[in-house]
Amino acid sequence: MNIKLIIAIMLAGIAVPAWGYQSNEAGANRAAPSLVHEGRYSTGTLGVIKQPAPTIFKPDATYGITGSWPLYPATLAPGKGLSVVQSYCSICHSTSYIVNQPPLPAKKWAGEVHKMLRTYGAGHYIPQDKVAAIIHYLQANYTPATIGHNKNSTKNSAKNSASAHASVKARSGNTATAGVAAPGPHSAGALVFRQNCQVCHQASGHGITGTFPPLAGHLPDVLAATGGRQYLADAVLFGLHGSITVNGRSYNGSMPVWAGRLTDKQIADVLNYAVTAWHNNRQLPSTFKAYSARDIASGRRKNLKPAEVHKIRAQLKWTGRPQTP
Amino acid sequence: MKKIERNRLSRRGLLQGIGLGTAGLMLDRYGMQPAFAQDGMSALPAYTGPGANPYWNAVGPYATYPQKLPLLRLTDRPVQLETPRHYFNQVFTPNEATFVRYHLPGEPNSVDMTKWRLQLEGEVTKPLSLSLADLLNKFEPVEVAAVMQCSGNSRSFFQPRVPGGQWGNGAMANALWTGVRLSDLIKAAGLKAGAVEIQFQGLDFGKGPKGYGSHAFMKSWSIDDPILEQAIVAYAMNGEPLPMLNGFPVRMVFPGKFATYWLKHVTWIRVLDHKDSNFWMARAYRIPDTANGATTPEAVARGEVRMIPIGSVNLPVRSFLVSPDGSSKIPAGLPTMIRGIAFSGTGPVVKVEISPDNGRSWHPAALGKDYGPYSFRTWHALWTPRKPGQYTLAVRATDAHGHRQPDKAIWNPGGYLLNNILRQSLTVGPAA
Repeated sequence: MNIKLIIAIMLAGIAVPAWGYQSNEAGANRAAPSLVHEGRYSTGTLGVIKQPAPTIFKPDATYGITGSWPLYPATLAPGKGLSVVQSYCSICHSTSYIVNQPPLPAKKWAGEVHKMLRTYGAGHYIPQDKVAAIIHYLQANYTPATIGHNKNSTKNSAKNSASAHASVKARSGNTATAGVAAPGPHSAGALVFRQNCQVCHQASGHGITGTFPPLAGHLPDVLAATGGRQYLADAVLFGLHGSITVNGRSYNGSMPVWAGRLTDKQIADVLNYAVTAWHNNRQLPSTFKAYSARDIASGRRKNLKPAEVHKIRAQLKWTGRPQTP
Repeated sequence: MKKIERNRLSRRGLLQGIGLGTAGLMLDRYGMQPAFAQDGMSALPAYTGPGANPYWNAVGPYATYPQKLPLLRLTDRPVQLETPRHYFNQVFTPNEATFVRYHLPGEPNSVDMTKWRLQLEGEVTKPLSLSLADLLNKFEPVEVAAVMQCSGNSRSFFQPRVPGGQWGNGAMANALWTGVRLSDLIKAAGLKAGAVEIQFQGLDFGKGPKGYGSHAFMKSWSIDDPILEQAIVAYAMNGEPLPMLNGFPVRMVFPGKFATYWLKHVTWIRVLDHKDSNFWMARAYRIPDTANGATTPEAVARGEVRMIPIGSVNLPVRSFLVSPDGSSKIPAGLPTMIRGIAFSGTGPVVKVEISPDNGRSWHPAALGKDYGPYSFRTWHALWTPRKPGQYTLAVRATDAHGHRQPDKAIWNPGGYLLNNILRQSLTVGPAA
């Protein structure tokens, strides 16, 4: 191969790969003293946002979006009163309203809470004896003097998630009223709940009258019924279709199928959260056993239809207040 | 094109830098350090305050919503999303980037158009119940380019801070709105002699008890307010159906007025025989009855301030420098295009000026195409910084009625009507 041919090959951009590569590398170091840094990477710190899949529409007269508006729950400072704030403030709006505010003086927070109670009518929903706890929580965590000063916040939330699963396990021999520890607001189950269930069943667990049944106060009754424990898992896995009655009120919303959207562990976590949150833990039957991912995995194989789950509910043998479907 | 324009502007010496700026980062004056990237990118803090928000936008994270590009999330139920700054580098804000502000958590997920009717009711001689097809076919279509700006836009810059949605500057959008004249609908329905106000209500409801502002959102105008002649019931936004979060199937457009009156999903147009005393008129969205809506916390505490609805005023004149946004360092001697938008609800924008030296000297910018008095007006100017250093650029607009942006920020308890001159700090390095 003569020199002219080599030059011709190079000009045409057809070089022997290994030879070309070494040559460029050596050349770059000599030719580009201006490069201060190159080729440095580290793991991204700001995260990525997933692309939504295209929406498929039917050419009918219903216009809108598929499914629900997304919730991206805010992380609130841990502290006394947090669960009261989450339960009651979330009736009308998500708690992202709290973290969106600049740190406000203590007096302003009290004023804001009273504005909600009186001007916006939240006094119809929030018991008078919870008001002080709500104001105290906001003042203890969101004033210029107190914001970010809860030094244990990171540690606490880590501890909450780590112990969430363990702490839900009922000690054998517990009486119904002795109670089982509830997973905290930062537990894995609470997160699944906020992201998937809260929009219907509400942060307070009270549901929406006529449409979505309450979980607060009702789940212990379901667990006390014969077959109730498995029925709850079935309802989350396979959905529920058909009108049901809870404490004398009927609800006709439909529960979506979660089997394809949540993992066994997520379903176990969220069930363990819901059956113990909102003081449900104080009413659990003494025989209650926390859900495990394995329980969910074995239930998943049944592959039921939402109407079949409705039938299962109809056949439950209630021991407490009767709940006819 | 570039060569000619650049030389021409260069020869004029338009907006040449005058050496080392003295202002440094304007952000520091609020006594708050902005977040700076260390190794790789670091995130903005989760909140700002008690000083003013030092950033252009709100500090919320990006979040994806149906029919929307990732926007800055303020709250998720009800939904409040802010438009990131760079979308304002064009005269019309894309629908999928347009900000979202709801008061009540009942944002419609879907609407059955076989059942949806726009109702004209109350003190009318002939109540109307109009389908979207009726609006499309039975009334003359009209269009207007108009800025929709949230009353609380820029609230996070108030000092002292006020509660409410902590918007940066991105709660505004300009769109070409197509629809029917409100006045044509009113004419078709016919007003009765007892008509006093016209009330608008949409499909979004809240969880609050009936009779409270947390249950229903309604806004009203006096029957003789001249804005009613300008208003349209819009079924298209930039030539497309309205995104659900911006008010599908139709929303009100009141050119030159704040967006709180631009009811989304508007379904009831109700002629009242009395003054509307609902929360959203009588108690909310009220501004001090003072020059420019300015007051002080002390005057409010003393109970001295008379408050009036924000509908009493039009959008004050504003201008925004959109790019460069400070995310790049500029080499000295490089002619740099400075771009932005301006608008005013009190008369078309006639002049935009740029200051390369933190407000000491002002130079006119070139205005972009005129889309009418209620639209954004784009502007641009070439700026060639001669020496390395920190520069603070400022921009101000003047409208046809002589309203010019003030340098001093106002304060009021609702966080409304801010329109002071904004600044952008830029770092210039040596070219060699």
